[in-house]
Amino acid sequence: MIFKQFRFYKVWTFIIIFSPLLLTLTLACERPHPTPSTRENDLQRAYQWIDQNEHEKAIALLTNLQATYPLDQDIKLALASAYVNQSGFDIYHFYHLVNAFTTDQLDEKHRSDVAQAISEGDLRHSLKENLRPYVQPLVALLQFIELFDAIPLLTPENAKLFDHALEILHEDSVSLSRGALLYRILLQVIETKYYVTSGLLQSDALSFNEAKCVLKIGELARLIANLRERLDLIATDLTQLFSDQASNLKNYLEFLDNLIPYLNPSSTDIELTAVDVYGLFRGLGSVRCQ
Amino acid sequence: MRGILRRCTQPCFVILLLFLCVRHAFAIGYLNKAISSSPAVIERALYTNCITSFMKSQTTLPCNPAALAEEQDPTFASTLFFGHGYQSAQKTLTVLRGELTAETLEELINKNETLSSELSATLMFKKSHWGMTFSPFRLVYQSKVVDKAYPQVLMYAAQEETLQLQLGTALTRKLESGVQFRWVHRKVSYDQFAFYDYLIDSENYLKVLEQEVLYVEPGLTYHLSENWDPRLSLLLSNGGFSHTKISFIDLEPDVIVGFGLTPPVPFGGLDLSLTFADEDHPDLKLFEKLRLSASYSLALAKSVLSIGAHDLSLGLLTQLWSARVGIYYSWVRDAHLYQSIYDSDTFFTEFGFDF
Repeated sequence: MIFKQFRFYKVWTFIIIFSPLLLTLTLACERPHPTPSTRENDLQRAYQWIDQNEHEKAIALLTNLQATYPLDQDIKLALASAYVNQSGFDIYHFYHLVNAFTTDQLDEKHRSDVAQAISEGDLRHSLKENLRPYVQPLVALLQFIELFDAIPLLTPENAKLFDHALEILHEDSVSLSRGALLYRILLQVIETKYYVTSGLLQSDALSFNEAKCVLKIGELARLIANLRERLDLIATDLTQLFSDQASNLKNYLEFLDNLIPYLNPSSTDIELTAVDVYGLFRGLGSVRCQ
Repeated sequence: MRGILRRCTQPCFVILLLFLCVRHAFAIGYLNKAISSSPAVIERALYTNCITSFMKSQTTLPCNPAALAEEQDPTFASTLFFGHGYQSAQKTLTVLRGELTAETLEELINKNETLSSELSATLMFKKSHWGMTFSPFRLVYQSKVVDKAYPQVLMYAAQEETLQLQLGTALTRKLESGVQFRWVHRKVSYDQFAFYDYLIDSENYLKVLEQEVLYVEPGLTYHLSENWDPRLSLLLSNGGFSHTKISFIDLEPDVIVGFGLTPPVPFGGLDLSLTFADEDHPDLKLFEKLRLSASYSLALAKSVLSIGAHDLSLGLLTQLWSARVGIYYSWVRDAHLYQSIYDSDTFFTEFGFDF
């Protein structure tokens, strides 16, 4: 019944009008649209997989893509991110870490704590005197340690994923964007915590004893030298990023440089040095022996 | 012979106009579309098909001003339209005041969701041949985060005031025409950036821009027959003039052409429509610019189902005395946005009061 109402000639009128309209639109509107390149399509697909937690697929796709475009920074960042995402580590939560290296506004409470630790610590008088100029870097260290404590420790598997990510991002700092540089710094800081902490736990540097805390100076010196080396890499990136604002880290590095000779195992006064260093760390609250 | 010529003149005129317009209006922005900013759930669900659909909301101005050529009773209505309304207001104002902090971004990254929110209020008056609306505020906020390790953020926030005037008249018994003048004052901020870049140079991102635009949006509807009311419609939408150019807001007109049909049904009213919208999505193929919709109204309820190549929209509206309430749901598959492909859904609500 309904169809009968639509009269036959009207159907023809409709076809006559509508067909040319569709034809016109088809011919006139089919402008050549830029087909997204394989690179862009693959990159989009990889990000989709990253967001859907299908990291293995994303890594496989991006690894192939990187072979084709070895210098493409977007692909490098995506691949590094795929590894970091696979670790499940929400790195963006720890952007505050950079402040500990760059800010000059030191907490007064920390400053007095450090000054007190130095003056009341079980330190030789000469060391106390030597440490006085380093109150500021020590405060920075303390602040950094507080932030450092908030970072969850990487598992060995995740540390490997971070290694992959850093390996991909390992290139001349100039070719990385400033944001990518900051990203690399955060990855390095988090990885540093893993290596320092696991190094301390696995080595005999600290053996806990109820009576006293004995530091094996040689082991500690090796760890601190390793820490110094890793922080040096971070300092290079930070200097690139913030030019003159990385002063705290520089002070901290200077402090470590001055500390390392005290840890020299060939020192004739090893026991005394051990007590000095223990006293210093105990004063700072970073090493607890009981 | 003369009869055939006379019968063909008007459709040919429409087709010629379509041809001319379609060939010259390709560069289109993709934000702040007139239809996308309608405060009515039915129009939102119909999307481009509202230019030819019979199922118009009676409490807002039509998408196609040609529809005002039809006789109608004077109507005065107010509408509140929102989706994630409070969040919209809060986030939009935060961005536009330049108060976006790293902590806010961190929270956004943590939620890792696509946010699309809006809050607007509109007053409308219309009668035969003309109508106007005033919207003292419309707050829109959209954001998307890709990749939690090296977060990349897309963020859009806008605050708009709009004054809109529509005029419509029947040129012949079958051809209706109309024009819409839309003045918009907007503060807007839009950017795509990496979170770590923002931490270092925040002042270089999300700059707030201000713009006043006068849009002139003409429309036509040609009725082919009375039975089933087959009709062709054309709307040149979003063509405007402004002293201030904003790169991501294109003032070139969108061309929307559509075909509508109103088959008789035993109960209620049914309306079918098909449109082609030439919007600024260079990646879309021709068929992906087509949209099909079906609307059905019965007593005080109206419903719309609208399907595009990558999306589906639903709209429901019901009215009780002077009050009206409606919901709009949209689902988009494989939306391409800033280095990512994702599925998204949005949900909006309309509350209104008609005087």
